[in-house]
Amino acid sequence: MSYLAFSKRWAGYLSRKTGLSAEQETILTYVIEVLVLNLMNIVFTLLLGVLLGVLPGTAACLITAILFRHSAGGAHSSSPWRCAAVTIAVFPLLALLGSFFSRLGQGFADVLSVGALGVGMTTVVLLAPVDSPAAPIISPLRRRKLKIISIALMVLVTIIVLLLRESRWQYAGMIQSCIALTLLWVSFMLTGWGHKLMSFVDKILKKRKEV
Amino acid sequence: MKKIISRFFIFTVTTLLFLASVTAASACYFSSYQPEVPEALRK
Repeated sequence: MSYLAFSKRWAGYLSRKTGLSAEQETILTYVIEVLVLNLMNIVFTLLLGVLLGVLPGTAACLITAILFRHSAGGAHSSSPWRCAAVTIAVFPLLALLGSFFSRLGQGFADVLSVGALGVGMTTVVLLAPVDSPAAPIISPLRRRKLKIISIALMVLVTIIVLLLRESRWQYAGMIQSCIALTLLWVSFMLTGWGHKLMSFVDKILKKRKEV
Repeated sequence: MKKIISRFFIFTVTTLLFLASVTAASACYFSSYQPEVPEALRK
């Protein structure tokens, strides 16, 4: 198993202090890596959202993506740093786009939302959950549970979008557009095209590093 | 003092191991990098 140096060091330290077995130390290394990388991605994404002046939209995009990635899965990058680059860039950009679209009027936001909810429900029903070789979903029962959770989340997001549509909150229109755009992004990441994009990003950034 | 520190480490490790077992049930995490899941968590 290959993990980053910091997570191995921290897990080794905690393991020595508490006398864990080698197997438990590996689990500890894994969970430290997952928590730290995800936390870093969230903090830097929100910071870029603040810098671009779209913090509420970025937060809405992040929450929607976290909800769906947890149950529906999707394409992955082979490196934590390339993944961070994609994550930190994509969500504030989606929020910027959502902010722009919300200025085009309620009609446009409605068409975008209906389209995104339709695409989202179709991809979730057909493709979710999409696992990765590093974390395969072995149990068919777990696979079925994750699909049901993904569909339930789609229903929940539909209700939230409807509530936002009726809301008079100043950010409601922008957040409605941000949720719709994130749904499109998350759905895209479930498809073969999304996987191709991630492997393309991997190749570009790898080549640049080698040069 | 030593006892408190020792209990703190045990609490931290227990919380992290609990989180690992809870999060292992998901398809993936928010970010698009997935570290290799240990064999013990795949079952």
